[in-house]
Amino acid sequence: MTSLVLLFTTLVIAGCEAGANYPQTTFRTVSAFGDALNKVFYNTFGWTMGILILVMGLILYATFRFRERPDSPDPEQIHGNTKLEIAWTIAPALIVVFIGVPTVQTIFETQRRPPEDALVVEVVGHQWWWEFRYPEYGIVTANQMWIPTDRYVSLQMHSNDVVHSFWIPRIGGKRDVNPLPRVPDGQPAAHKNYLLFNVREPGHYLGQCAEFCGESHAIMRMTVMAVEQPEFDDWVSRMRAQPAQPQQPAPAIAAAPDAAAAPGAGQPADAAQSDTAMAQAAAQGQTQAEQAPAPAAPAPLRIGEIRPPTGVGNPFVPPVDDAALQQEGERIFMAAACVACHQIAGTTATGLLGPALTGYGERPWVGAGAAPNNVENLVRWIRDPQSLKPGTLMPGTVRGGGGMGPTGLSDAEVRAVAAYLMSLK
Amino acid sequence: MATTEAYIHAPAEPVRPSTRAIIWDWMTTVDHKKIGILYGVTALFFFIVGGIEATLIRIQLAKPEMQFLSADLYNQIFTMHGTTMVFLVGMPMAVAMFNYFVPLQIGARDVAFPRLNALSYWIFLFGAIFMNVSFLFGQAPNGGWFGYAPLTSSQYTPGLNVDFWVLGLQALGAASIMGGVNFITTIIQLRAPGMRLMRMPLFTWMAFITSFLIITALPVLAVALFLVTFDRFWGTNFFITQAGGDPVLWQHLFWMFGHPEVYILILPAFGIVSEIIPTFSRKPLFGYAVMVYSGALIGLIGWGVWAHHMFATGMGPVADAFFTVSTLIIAIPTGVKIFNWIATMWGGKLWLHTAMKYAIAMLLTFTIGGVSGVMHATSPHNLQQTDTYFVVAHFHYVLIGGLVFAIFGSFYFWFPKMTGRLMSEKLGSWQFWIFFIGFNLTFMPMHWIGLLGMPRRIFTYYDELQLADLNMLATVGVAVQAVGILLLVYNLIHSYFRGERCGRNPFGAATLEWATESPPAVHNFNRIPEVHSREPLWVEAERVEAYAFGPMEENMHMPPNSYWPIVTAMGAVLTFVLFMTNIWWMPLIGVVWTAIGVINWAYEPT
Amino acid sequence: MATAVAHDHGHGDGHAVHPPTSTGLNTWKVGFWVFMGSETLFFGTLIGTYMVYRGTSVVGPYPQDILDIPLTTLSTFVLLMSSLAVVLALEFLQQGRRNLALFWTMMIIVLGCGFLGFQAYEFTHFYKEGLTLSTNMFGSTFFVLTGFHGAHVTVGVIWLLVLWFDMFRGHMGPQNALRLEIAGLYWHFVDIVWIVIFTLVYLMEFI
Repeated sequence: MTSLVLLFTTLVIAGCEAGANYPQTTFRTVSAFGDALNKVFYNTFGWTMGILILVMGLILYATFRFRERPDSPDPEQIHGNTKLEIAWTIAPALIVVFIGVPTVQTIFETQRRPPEDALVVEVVGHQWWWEFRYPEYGIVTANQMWIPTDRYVSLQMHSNDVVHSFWIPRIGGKRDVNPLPRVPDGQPAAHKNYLLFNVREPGHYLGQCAEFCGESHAIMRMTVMAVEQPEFDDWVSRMRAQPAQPQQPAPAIAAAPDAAAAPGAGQPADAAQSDTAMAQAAAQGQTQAEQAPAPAAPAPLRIGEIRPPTGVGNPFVPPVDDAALQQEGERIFMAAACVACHQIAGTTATGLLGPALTGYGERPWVGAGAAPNNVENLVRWIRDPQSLKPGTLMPGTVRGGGGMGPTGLSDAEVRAVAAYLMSLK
Repeated sequence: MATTEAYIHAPAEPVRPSTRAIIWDWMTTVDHKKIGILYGVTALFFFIVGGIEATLIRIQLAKPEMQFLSADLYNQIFTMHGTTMVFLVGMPMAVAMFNYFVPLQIGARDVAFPRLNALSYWIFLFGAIFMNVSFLFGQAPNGGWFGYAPLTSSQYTPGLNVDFWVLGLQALGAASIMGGVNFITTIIQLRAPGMRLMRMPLFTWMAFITSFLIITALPVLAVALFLVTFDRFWGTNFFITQAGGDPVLWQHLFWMFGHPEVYILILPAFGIVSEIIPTFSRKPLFGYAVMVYSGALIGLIGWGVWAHHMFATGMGPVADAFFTVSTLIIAIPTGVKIFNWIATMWGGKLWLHTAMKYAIAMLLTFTIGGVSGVMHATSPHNLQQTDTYFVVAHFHYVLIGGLVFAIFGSFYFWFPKMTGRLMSEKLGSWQFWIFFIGFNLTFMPMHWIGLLGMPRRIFTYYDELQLADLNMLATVGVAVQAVGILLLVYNLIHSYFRGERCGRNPFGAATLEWATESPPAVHNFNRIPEVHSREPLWVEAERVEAYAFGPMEENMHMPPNSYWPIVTAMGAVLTFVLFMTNIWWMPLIGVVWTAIGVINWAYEPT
Repeated sequence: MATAVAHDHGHGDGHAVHPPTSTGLNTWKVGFWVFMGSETLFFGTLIGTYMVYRGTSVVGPYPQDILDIPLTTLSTFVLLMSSLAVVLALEFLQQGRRNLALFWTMMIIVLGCGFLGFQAYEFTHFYKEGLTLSTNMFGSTFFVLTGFHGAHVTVGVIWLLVLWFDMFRGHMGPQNALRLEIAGLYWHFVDIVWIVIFTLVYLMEFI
């Protein structure tokens, strides 16, 4: 059991050393906030380990030294010793002081008010994804928070539904993201929880929700992209930029067969164009199918046509750099139910219920951490999100979700939409 | 009534009573020893249920992205694991021991209100069954044992899951409060002549303090549960933010109950260890008075630390600082206790019986849990630790390393008193080492799993966290623990039938429960002994035994069996069950049933 | 739960032979005091919840619009008088003056029912004014707090009715006046809780 103690301490030290390999370690922090927490932790750790080793040593010594032997004398019947007892009341009390003073100092240090020039990011928790709003820039994004290094970031947090908890271990401690009670008119709004930190090392930091928030609590992850100021500015400009391809007027309505009477001079051309794009896409899909054993691609289909699904999984991996397919995907996206919930800056998609998809192609995951972000997983996600993330509110192509019916997108359409989303950078 | 009474009071018959008579006797018993055994067996059963749930959890987490359990089922199972282990194992196991041994230790014939005692047990049993029946509907509670609002509101959990949870817990809480009232009254009123408060065995003292915590903390939970229940059934707004409700209030109410609850679970363990260590060291407890005062102090300060469960909630620096300091202060009386136990062993003649092994192991592992507790109290870093596996490691070190080790020790210690047979030492030693190793194998790695970034209550995790190996180690540990538990159950059953017979006091212990036959007679002592010391069987054995085994007291009256407790309990739990119909008058059926039970109870001759 | 403990207390003493207790106090009485300690925490938490949510209703009716101080003062007075009746009833029972004890016990019951009547009127009146359990925070906290209090009064009334019938049948006298004493303890407790509620819920709105 002494070895247990040794094991404990060595492993803790080893854990600190090797911490770099663990993406969510609390040992290797990259902000003054995180460092301050670790500093008090090591202080407490040192004192308590000292006590632990002492107590364990005493217990083990007493166990072996005083165990019954044939020649053991009858023990002296002692009822106590006031001096000793006072001593071991005062000793822990002193240690409590040594632990308590720096702890309380750090509490106030880490919860001070943010400086004026801090970058304010509003964090909104949702079941089960993260929304990040940058009021300074008018940017809304989800599940991936970009921040500049060496600038204070002030998170203002609240939840849209249940209690969540924002946690990026390498940056620092977590803070609950609470739903705020509505207040009577004229009274100040309920206070939002806040976190303040200043990341010094550029990097890609992982985190996840830390307060149990329902079925897919485990899949409520996020990443922080900490980049230097110029790169951050670049990101901001990209996020605010209009998409390269200007929008066609209302292609969505044009595409719907039963909406043929709807206005718009460019309709027939659009429809024709889309057919061509689909054909091209299908051809490419077939080329790929030759390389890898995959089910044959279905025939091109008209937009709005609904076919039964061909099974879960992703038979095709559409080429991401196919501009025509991407354009087609955009058109389908804007026409389908997607826009009811999702927004993409600079487009007609302005839905507010689901995660913003601006810059989606740069995100590491689909579904807030459900799977790595690639076309294959994205297609699977759009077709049947429940299979990747139980309980998600997003409807699939066949199964509904979140009180909405199925989107009814065909495989080819899904593929086009995936290609489009992956192109958003 | 007449038949059971006859059975109880009849002299030993040559013919064994029929199975039916035996079952009827247990159903109507008001004997504190039998009720203690009922509590113990039920708690052991649920310990195995909770253990199976734990095993399922660990299988799911053995590797990243396992598909063994669905997300929803996993959430149900971890919720029920926590709820079961706290309310259906930890508390009733302690209550089982209180029931059996507190009256014996203070020299009483029974508890103050024997029928109320039976009622507590039956409500507990029916409530426990009710909550677990939810699995048959596939809708077991799934909001976590802490049930944070507003996840538990019908908006986010529309099924029956949380209904089972709030109503079941309400019943269990009511049972606990009745038990608490009963023990406090028993200890205040029914001590043997000369058994002054400061002569009571430490175990009884801890039962006393625990009972005070129960009667004060459980009503807070009752109110909190009522508020959620009304939110769900009657559309009140207590935790509905759209109407102005504040979910953080739930957290305060829950932890105002929840932290005293922690001491409700651990103080009995302190009491048990304080009995075992002196007995097997052959020395009186070192610093008895300080042990009593520190226990009382822990109970008292335990009321002022609840929000240390909420450092991440965003209470602001002043509240954080206050609760940090109050929590750290609790470490002082706890540390004093540990040192006093060591000092008790110091200079003794240690008999390393399995009971003693468990007690020593409890000191070791509880200290580990204690120091990680101090690390939690460091509230800035608590922001990293809370809701991770570091916390899971901590409280399992406290609850298994503290409570369960002590309870297992008490099995080896008190089983001979309860059955007249010793438990097998050979099996016991094996069982101890296997369980001890399995326990550390499971929960030691969780310290790192947590600090390396794995949150609690997640049904899956991803390979990129690099935590697959440590998680696998923890899962292997559970398998080892399971072997240890099965051995214990086997040892209990085997020793019950085949164990070596023992006398009245096989371990040479000092307290009054050993001045009875093994198992004790229905009336415990022939005459209530008069005591003049803290260690009556060491200091004044002859005189005490002359009372306990001497001529029978005349006009002794033992309360007769009664079926009204079980009938009333049915009505009470039925009230909660019928709440689930969501028809307003349905619960009234249960209320009327309960009222009929109570009134008949009141007019039953005792 | 309350009733179970309560009724257990009312009896037993007359039948069972108890050994002398460690403190010399009556065991039922001690047990009941302990139980009331638990009840204090119960009402304390309910009242605390009310106070936390005071003034957080986002829509009306608000307490100032709807609470009727004169009427509630009257019902509070009725409840206070019932506590006086408890004292008298117990005194007469202990003196063995059966008819007076019967009368004053009935007075407790009548006054208790009177209080419940006021509450029933108040609840229906509020309901008609548009205040329900789910209207706003005031509705939720008010009905739940006063509702639990009313439920306690109801239990007390039923308990006293049982005792009154026993008294009527001649089963009660000075030898088991303890039964009434414990019911009286309960009644006083519920009465004190009401005074706190009346102060915090009603009077404080108008200070």
